[in-house]
Amino acid sequence: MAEIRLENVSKRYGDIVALDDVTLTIEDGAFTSIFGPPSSGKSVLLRVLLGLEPVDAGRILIDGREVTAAAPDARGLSMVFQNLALFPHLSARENIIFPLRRRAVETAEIDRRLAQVVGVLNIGHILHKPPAALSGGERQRVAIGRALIRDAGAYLMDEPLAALDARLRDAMRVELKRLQSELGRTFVYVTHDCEEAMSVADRMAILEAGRIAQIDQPDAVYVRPASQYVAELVGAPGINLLDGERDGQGVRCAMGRIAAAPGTGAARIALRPEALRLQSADAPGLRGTVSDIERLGAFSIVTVAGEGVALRALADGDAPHRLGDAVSLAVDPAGLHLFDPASGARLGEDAA
Amino acid sequence: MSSVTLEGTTKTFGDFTAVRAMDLQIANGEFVAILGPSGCGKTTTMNMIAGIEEVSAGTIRFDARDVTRVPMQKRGVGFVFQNYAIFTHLSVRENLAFGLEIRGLGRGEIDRKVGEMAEFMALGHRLQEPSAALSVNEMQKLAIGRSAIVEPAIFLLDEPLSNLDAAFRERMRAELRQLQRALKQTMVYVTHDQIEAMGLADRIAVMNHAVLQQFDTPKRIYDAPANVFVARFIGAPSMNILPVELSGDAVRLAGRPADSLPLPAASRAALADRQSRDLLFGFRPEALRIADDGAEASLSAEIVLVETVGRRAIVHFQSGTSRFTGVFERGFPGRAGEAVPLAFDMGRAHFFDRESERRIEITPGRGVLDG
Repeated sequence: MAEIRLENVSKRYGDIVALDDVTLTIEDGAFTSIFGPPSSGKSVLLRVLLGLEPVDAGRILIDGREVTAAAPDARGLSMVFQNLALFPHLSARENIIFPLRRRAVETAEIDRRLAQVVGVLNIGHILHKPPAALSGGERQRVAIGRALIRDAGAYLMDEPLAALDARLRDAMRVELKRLQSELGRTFVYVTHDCEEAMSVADRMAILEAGRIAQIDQPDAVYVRPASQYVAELVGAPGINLLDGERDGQGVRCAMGRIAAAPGTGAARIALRPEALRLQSADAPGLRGTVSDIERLGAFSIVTVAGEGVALRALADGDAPHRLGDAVSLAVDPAGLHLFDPASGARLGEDAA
Repeated sequence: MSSVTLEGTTKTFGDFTAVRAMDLQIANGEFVAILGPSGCGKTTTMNMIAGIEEVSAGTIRFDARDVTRVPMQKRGVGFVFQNYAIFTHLSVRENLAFGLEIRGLGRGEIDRKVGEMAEFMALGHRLQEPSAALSVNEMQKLAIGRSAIVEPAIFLLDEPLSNLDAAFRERMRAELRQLQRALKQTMVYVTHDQIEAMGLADRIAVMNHAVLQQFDTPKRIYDAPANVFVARFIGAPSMNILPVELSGDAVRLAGRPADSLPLPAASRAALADRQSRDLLFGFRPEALRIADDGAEASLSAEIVLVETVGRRAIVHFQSGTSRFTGVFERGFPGRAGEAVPLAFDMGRAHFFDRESERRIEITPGRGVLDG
């Protein structure tokens, strides 16, 4: 097990800055997810960690030992790739023990470690089969088994569930979470899927154009996004954004006024859809007209428009509203965030 | 606008049947989503409607006209692919005008239509820009606008949002609904994403293994899925579907003889002739609640894992030998290892025949009399 630390790491490709002065500690024995949209630098981060790419500046330390210039093999990290990279001509068993064979580990030791991996992954019944005879989820397990059988300081995964269908993905992420907590090993998990990043990890690092936008527990990221960028990336349905002006005790926007932390000046208002409750038009709140209703089974997304802006509110699947209804929206302050319109930085409690 | 009728429409590739005897009637001006996992035959179905794939058996009609053997370019369909196919050497305006110019419309009419569509797609201020300058999101929007502008009788969209980021996908769903309301075109929309199908379509055709499973409104598909496959495919997390012990007026989960879940009268009537071994019991994760103090029928379950994902907590439970999930609002009070009493509205539970996996119809009216 190992703690991994990046100190002021930068990586450029010509004019493109892929990683920009990244400092990050991946805690020993924790499950850390690295999340960001395409080209935010998450795969590059993984590649420099693994030693597949040299860094241009900064240091990488594993358990305090500098490995910045060390070869991939010397870093003691184990990797599960997105495309699995299983050998088609080998059985599941041979695929899993391949890394040990390559390192000339003794047969008795191989058997011992295989038994352990097979136990946690529950794959004893498929060991004899070649990859082509396995389902998507089984292949995924074999690939994870091949990574886990190594005695590595940390286990790195690059979008390991991306190729699976939704239901299997949901099931596998629970498996991974259980696996990590049973094994207590350091897991680093790269994904562009926010829900996945939040559900598997103890800590979540969010990348923005090669920089760390926020690193915290997933729930803390949701409750207290550090910037507008993070607020927009995290949560589904997506957060509402509109312009406002703070007046000391509240913030005024086109559709009305919301009580908020003290402060004055322009603010970007961000409102989570679940923090907006539809009420009758005469109740106090933000006023508008229902302009769209999207019924999604368990819940509906009701869009309320007024004065040139629109807000999306979460409602029950069978919400009684109709297009054109005049409504008022009550705001739960827990889902209200204010950001600096220029920098996108969080405003409010600290600024007060 | 046209209606689209598929009758026994089949597509085989050698020994492989991609679409098996599909019967589907899409009404004039209707927005229909064809939904299913990869390889289910949904894209092949759309390709047959478009004329891209030949039909192996059966017929396709647009209104009364049999188009089964009519070549693609004579069918009057518009098509938007997953990978936007716009002319990057042309401006936004030229892309929008392209189809209208081919059809020989006058200058004034072209300008009017291009202006309207650009306005609708919020691209009005970018008409003169080269389309290569647009973002991936805007390019796909332009691709949709360019096909919609010629007002095809039937508008086919194949996973048009799948390459877009999550926030933009949500916005595009709203714009597509508005577009369809405005143009009243017959739209057929292929997707593997159940949220897109639920949010966009008037009716959803759910496919699996080349076979149409159910064709109904989103509400009916969600509330009354035809079978286990549809029940599990719609909704996230998926519906819990478990074996169950049936004893007269109640059901029990396997390995939990103490926890009895009383059946409403309508369910009792529907299940009267059934044996436990023939049944599967289904309930949606969002139907689960923490039970009030003893007042209602409840089920004791141990919390296996709590996943807090933004606004929701997805809680994994074990009760007896059954494992299932529940969805709660964030701030769920329990922790792994604790036991909690759970309840759900048994009137909303589903039962399926274990052999056929078809849902057993429960007629609610029969519960009112003795409820």
